[in-house]
Amino acid sequence: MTSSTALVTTNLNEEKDDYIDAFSDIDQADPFELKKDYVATQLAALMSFCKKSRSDVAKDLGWKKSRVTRVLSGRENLTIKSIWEFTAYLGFEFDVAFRRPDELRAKQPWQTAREVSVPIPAVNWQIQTSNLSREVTMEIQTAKDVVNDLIHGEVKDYYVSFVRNDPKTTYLTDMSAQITNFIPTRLKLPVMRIEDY
Amino acid sequence: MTPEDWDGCWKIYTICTDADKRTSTTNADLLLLGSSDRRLAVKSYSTLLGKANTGLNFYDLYDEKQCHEAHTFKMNGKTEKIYRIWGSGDIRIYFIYLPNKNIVLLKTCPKRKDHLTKGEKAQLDVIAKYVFECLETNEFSTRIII
Repeated sequence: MTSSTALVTTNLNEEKDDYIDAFSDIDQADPFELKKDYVATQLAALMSFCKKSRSDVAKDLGWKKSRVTRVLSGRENLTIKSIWEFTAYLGFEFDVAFRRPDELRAKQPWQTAREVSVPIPAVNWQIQTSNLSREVTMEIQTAKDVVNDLIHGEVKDYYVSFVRNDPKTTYLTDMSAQITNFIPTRLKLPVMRIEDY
Repeated sequence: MTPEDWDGCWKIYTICTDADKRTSTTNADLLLLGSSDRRLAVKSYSTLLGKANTGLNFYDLYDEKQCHEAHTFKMNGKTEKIYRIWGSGDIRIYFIYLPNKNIVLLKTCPKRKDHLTKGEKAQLDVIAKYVFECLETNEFSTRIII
């Protein structure tokens, strides 16, 4: 929870303490069912990413349409063979990668395909301190750009890191400035990300 | 239930009457459900979030029967569409798409029949119109939790 959230919640009317948070049931969801669902969603996403339809899969793999539906719905306890057949058909491999619950998942092909790096023009800067004056070329790179440079032996002389302070996502851009200094005076229709529950 | 956010994913919102998440219409919908339906609704949200996280077209991720147009209405001479997801069991989730990969949930309810009654359509229209009006007049508050 961020400090802005804390600010908002402390401004709430105390009567609302009696409100029930129905989303608290979420923690009681069966983790195995959620995992089955997750695997099915990833398979459906891979199919979509490869521009294939359910009919294509059924026809090309010789599966009944009902089987494709079951596999992609998360209702079926999938076998490794089914997953292998499906991914191989789409031209992909699959691995078993372990991680701690709080660690990020490896990125999927549809995520990496969208990460188009937008080049930001390099700028020449003069760095001047009491005992140093130097002309440098400043170039903004993503972490991925830096790794690529290192892999290709194109190491720069210095590295300065920046962290974005603006919110990761904003709902409407013109309201984004209010996030850090939230005053609930225009609360006609607050909206909330479900993911934040 | 927090998926790993990334730039290309769908962002799913619910409507609140104030800054407390417990005042959201989604929370109210859940509270109206019996315990069994509520569990199914929670599972349906979880599935929805997983699919939203891929950033891909819902029509590819759900089959046609599971996710489809449920109702249309006219607003300012333009036809707007309300979509429905058949969740687990009899749970149905109604939503609208907004620009920039945003989705607003309108209603979650058990639905034993596919057909929407006049009253149900009218209720969805009111909520959806309210959202569109707020979008037009820029009266959305921003995300409360970031």
